[in-house]
Amino acid sequence: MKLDNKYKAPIDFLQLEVVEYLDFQDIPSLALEKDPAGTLYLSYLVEINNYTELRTLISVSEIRLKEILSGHISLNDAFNIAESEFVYFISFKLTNGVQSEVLIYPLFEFITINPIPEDYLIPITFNEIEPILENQELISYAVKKNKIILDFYLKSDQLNNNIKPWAVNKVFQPVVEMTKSFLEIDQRQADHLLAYSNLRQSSLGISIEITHHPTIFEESKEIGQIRKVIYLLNAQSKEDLQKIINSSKNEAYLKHYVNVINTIIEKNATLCTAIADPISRTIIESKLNRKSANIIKIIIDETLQNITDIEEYIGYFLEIDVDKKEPSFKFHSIDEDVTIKGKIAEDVLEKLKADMINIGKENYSFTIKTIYKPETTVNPEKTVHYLLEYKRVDEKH
Amino acid sequence: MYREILPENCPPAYAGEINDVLYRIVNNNIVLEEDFIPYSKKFPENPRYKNNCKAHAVSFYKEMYTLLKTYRNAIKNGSNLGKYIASLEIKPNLGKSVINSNGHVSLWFYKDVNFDKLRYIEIREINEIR
Repeated sequence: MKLDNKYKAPIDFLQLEVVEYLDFQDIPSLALEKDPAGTLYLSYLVEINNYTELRTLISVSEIRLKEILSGHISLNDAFNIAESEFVYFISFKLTNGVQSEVLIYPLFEFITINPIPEDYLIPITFNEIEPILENQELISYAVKKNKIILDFYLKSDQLNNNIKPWAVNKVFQPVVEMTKSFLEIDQRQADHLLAYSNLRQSSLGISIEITHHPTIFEESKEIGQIRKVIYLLNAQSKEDLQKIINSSKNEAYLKHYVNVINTIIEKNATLCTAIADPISRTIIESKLNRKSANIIKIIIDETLQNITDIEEYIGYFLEIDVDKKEPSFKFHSIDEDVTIKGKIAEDVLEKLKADMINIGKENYSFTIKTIYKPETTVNPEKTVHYLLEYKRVDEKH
Repeated sequence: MYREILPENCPPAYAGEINDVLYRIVNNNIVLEEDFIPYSKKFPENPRYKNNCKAHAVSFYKEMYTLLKTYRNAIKNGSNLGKYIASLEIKPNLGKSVINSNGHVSLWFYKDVNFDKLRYIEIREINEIR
């Protein structure tokens, strides 16, 4: 690059030390540097010639730096609208880092020769970045829709170019199940009350819209329950966990919560969630990463030996075996679209033997007790279902 | 633990082991350790690199597109990064790495990596790709 010698300045006019490289892809394209007074400089590699690197630099305030790193100002613009009146060109010897030439260009001259491509984007190293939550935007959206918004954002190195099934199956879906559990709703009700929107493919971001029923005098029952999702994902002690368990009618959410924790650890992912309440216009947030997930996993292993849950399903029998040592059943749930098999509780065994069950044809309401044993360092996870009661759906209605 | 003498807190705590097929620009069409030398080692007396973590990492790319973009920028800046593009399997036992939003991977090699055992899955001259 041809530079005008009339802007030459004394060597070591600026004494600089590299704080970090913001873009180092085979070549050191962009660095953050500082002088002895602590002033920060952005330093862009212009060219390498004869074992000398020529860099262009501007001083930046911390606020401006944040704006640049968050992408609100491009690097090209950042130089064109530099906070100071001057832009520097400094040559450094590659062998020892010593400065060999310094030029100080006035900003109005620099603009005409700015070597930084207009489309240059500063790469962001994953796990260094915190997803930026646009609070006002999220609240406005919640108010506009008059719905509680549960915003879900999962990031991981493995979600760089696309969304992997584990992100949906092992984190997003369990969070939805936790939400359903706290709201005490089944799949059929979920189809009415929940909706997904604002899908972001940069990592995995989804907003879950939740219909609520606020009254004039008090907040909706739903927001109180949904907050527990955030409290749970923020839990870092036995007390945190116990408080949620004690205030919840069932424990079905714990199984899904354990799945989320295990996946965050296994995939070294970070899950950020936020709830926007359209009535109070407030946001509460949670952040779960591998470090916090490891802490709570130890507590879970110590605290939760078994998670018990009793649920109702509508479906039809697929199989009944009362002659086995441990009589068993299998049914398909119509509302949840899952097949569940397990053991038959003694209380219901005689009734089952006496009843004329029409397998695969008649619909029943099943009361199922589920005992879930979370995975520990020595044992794999285990789920056992018990049939406690069943009724013909016609009888019920 | 690492092949290079690294500055403090390097690699960062969030760096992890990966298991992936990645691309790298190299100078030889067989695996030679000299093609996996970090920038800091080329200029060991330069404090601008010696004290910086990323300068001790070796660059790999998840996408051919990003690799070619870097290659072309480097040519424009006066650097020739190599003649070939090699793809190779990066196993967790090779080192720790971080990835950025361009799909660029900085890898800090472990000390005992045996380069003789590495094989390229594919190697092509850069001219063929252009």
